[in-house]
Amino acid sequence: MRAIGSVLLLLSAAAAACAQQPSTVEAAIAAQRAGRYEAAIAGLQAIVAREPANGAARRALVRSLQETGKYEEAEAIGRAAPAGAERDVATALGEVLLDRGRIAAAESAFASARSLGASDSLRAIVALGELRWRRGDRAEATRLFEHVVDQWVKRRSRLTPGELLAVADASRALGAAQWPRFKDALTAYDAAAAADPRDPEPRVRLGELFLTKYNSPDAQRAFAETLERNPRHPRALLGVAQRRAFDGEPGADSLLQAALAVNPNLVPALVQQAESHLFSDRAAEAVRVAERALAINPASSEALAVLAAARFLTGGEGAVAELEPRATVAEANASTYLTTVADIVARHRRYREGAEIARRAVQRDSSAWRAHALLGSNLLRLGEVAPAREQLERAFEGDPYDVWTKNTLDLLDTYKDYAEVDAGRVRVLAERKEADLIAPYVAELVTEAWARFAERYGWQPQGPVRIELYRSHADFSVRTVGLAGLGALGVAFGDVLAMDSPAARSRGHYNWGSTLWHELAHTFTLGASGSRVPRWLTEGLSVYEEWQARPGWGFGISPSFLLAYRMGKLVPASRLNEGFTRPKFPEQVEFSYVQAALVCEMLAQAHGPTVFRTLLDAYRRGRSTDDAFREATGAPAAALDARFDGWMKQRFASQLAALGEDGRGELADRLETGAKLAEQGRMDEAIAHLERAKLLFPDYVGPDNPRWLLAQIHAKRGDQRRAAEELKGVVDRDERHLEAHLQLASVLEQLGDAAGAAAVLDRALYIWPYDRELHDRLATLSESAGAHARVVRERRALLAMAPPDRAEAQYQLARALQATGDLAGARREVLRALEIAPSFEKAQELLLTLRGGK
Amino acid sequence: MSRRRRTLSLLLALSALSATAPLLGAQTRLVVVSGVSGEARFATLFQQWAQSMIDAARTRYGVPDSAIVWLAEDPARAPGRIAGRSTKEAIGSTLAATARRMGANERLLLLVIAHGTVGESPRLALPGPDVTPEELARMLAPFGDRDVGVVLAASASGDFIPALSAPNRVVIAAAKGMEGNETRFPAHFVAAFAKEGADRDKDGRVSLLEAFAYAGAEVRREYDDDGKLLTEHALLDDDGDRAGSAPPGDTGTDGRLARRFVLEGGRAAASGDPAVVALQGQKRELERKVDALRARKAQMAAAAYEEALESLLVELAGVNRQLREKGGTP
Repeated sequence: MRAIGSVLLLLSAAAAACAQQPSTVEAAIAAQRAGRYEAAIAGLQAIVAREPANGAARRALVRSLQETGKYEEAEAIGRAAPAGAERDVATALGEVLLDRGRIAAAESAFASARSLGASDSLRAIVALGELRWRRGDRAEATRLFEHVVDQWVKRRSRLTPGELLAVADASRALGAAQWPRFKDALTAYDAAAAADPRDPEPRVRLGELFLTKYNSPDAQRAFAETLERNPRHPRALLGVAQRRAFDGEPGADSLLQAALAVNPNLVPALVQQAESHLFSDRAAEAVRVAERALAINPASSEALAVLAAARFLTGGEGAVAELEPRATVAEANASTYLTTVADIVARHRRYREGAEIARRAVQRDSSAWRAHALLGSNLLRLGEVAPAREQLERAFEGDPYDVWTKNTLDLLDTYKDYAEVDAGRVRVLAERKEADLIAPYVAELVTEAWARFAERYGWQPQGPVRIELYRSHADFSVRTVGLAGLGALGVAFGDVLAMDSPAARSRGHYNWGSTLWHELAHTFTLGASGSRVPRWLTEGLSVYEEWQARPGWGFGISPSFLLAYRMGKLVPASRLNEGFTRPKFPEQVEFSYVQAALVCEMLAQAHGPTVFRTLLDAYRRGRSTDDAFREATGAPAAALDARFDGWMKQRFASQLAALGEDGRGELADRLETGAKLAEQGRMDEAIAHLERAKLLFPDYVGPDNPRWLLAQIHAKRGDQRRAAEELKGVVDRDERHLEAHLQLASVLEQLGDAAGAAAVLDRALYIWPYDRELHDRLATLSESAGAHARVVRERRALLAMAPPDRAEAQYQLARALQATGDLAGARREVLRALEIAPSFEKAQELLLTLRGGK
Repeated sequence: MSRRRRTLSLLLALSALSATAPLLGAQTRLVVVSGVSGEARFATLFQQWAQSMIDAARTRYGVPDSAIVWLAEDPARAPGRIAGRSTKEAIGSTLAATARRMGANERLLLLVIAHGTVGESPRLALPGPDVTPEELARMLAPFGDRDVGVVLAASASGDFIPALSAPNRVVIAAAKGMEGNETRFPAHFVAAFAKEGADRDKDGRVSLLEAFAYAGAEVRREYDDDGKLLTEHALLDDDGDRAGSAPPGDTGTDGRLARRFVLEGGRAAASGDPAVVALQGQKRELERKVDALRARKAQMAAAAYEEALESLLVELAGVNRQLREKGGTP
């Protein structure tokens, strides 16, 4: 938020400066570089009017008009150049024509600049090379690029800043086939920036290059340096917007708007905007913006791609092939078009289709490294590791600077330390050190969830679901988005799930059971809808399913969420996708999860749980959100807004009242006073306040949870029964409160409730499964409660944790198996114990018993 | 299987047997030294660890008070139990006196709980001058070729191994020479003797090797649970080659003496019942056969191994049961 604020401030400062009109070409160029475009244009227009043959002024005017999107005017100025000034403007004119998709005319202008020996002829030669490259004449293109790069060798010290920029662009273009040239490009961009520090172009192009390699920090640095000098630079603003969107940070939209405010015809910005609409479940708007972009530049591969993707994602299965011929105008093999479509489609969770389209791109162009990388990453999402690695290796050979590819390959290299455990309906991939420990719990939970989801959604996966657990959050992040730093805990790629292992988070900060439940729900909702369910609905259903699974699982309803609701900060229910794809403040994504789940709860209450099956089926048939809601609820999606508002007011009436206007209402007062009184030892008074706080906001969790405080007070007073009640209240609302789980188990055990204590410890394993003592306690309690199967599970878990006393662990497992009647298993395990410790008396006795000796 | 390989297997089996059989009846003398703590937290920990080790030796393993000496930074913390201040001189004189008093069938376990120093000249921090590896080696010289265990429960103590390494001597260091951070090894090493869980072979005794393995595993688990990289690596040397292993494997030469080195109060009374003596003989023979079979495991088909193992173990269990019924020690 602070960053956006400062951008806006700078924008107004720049606007204020527009009034001063420069009177020389140098001053006008300086004004343009500072973002004072109107002043620069006015000044240059005056100079050109006064001196029509002033080529430098005319070229600067064409570029200023181009940068602000006044392409027609720019073309007119370029074409009106008198004979003497023609060569000065030819390259700039070519670039304007290229922005309009008039490729033949652009090529003619560049050729003219070259033949007339224009001062920026190297730039024209690079542009000619790029056109040849796209046409498929790569030998000629390479010759042109090499010619430009040769100038660096021949007369480096005498190259102008503009020529250095051309050398950088040529090196970058050569990098497509010879990756070390990217390094040369960086050197040349740096040299160009150093030669003319006030020219933003080298930095902007550098930033754009970094973005294509998913190198977001370096890209950000390059764009930020540009924006320091020119806060209105449209492409730099767009670059930062793209960077933020890629990193999932708020503020991308405002930056995009700022870029379009300066240049409303900036096609890449419109493409970005169309993509943003598409991700917000507004396909019609995406199509409208993409068509607008194509009206400006009918040959834009990216605009065609987003249009094709929008049509494809809304049921137009043939759209990609239909639009492909148009894409060949700009690029004979249409590989950029196909690669872009593959990327967008895959980001809408259509991984198989994304992989297929990427495969077509690599078939057309075997050096389309990004397409190889996309094919590889999508195959990986489909669980096809070996072919995925092959594609990623090819991508890396061609472009080792692609951070996503490199990180993913590094991760795949670590798979040698992983084990794949086949556990019925699931295949668990986890690090060897914990695979045997965690897999049985995963399989048990998946079995339970599978039955529930299959019934609710009327669909189930054909084969086993692959579940990958990463002990390092950075590895999980790379698996998901190719980079470290993802905030999520888990991700579902359809039948393949990846998530943080419990070890990836500190003890008591993560409930891996609820996360697994959440992700598996995605598998079913994605499957039932043919991967067409909008993001908000699949997230809402996943959280809703967590709420149904166990008390306390999933995001809770917090005071800050309800305050945001009351302050109107939540997005309308009918536009909930925006809360995920275009968050306006840091908490908005989390609030959107809760809001989406509440919408699901409201729908289930009003229409019964079958409403979800109807909705998902409608999406599967390609219906729009409006149509799907009409089918399922009898009203369009827009009707959700008023309905949800009314439902919220009723559902949370007492909580909203307790919060007060600013969150400092009675609840805050009671919590604060209760805690203070408890600290002073005035327990009876403290209890009264804390009980009242409980009533006001029953689901309140947090460090000052009144139930937790009450439990401590009651425990201290020796009132174990009331302590147990309060502790149960905590664990039923806070899925991560390990201490409460452990304390409740102890209290229940003291109260003689072994089964209850075991059940609580069983849930605690979803928070932290690495505590040997916990497993041992659970085994002992389960034995007392006669839950023999659970004793076996726990004894196996202890063995999987490589206990120092392995013989004892093996013996205990043998005993547990004996209790379940599995005498063969018991004998096998007791022999393992005695193999380690032949004189182990208890094990010897058990062996004799099992052999019928006594 | 070739003749040559069969011979090799037999040798391995025999060496495994001699390596695992404890030195029964040998009394252990225990000298515990707790060095300069530096801060209150360590003073408490050093005292707890020393006390736990001594209590375990007395109550769990029957080492008499007369065979235990404790030197500490501040004798006032446990008057009557701490024999004196843990200065370099006091350690030297205590070890000299212990060596003089030691019987033929006795061994020494020296446990030093201290902070180690990282640097070119390794030292352990004591009240007064610190002790260097060479100085400690000189103090141990009077023990000659008797069995001696030296456990340096101190950070950066690995560099003491080259100087202390000798025949019939087990040297354990909690961390390598460059690992100067606070070490978690001592707590677990002491717990190996004081609590259940370290007696891997269930023979009722905890050997130095078992304690070393237990502490190492627990340290690794703790680091793993905390999500931290392991920054301490304990070492053990008992083959006199001046180099420690971490952990000693079944195939290396380190670990054989440590496997036999246990805390003991003295020789148990031998039974006069001929039937018991015969059963004890049978038991030893069966244990030898189990050891030999385990050594051949890799060369055998799984089913044949399982069958042979079960047969021997059942027989062994039967013999042990008879021994208990006759009041003999299994």
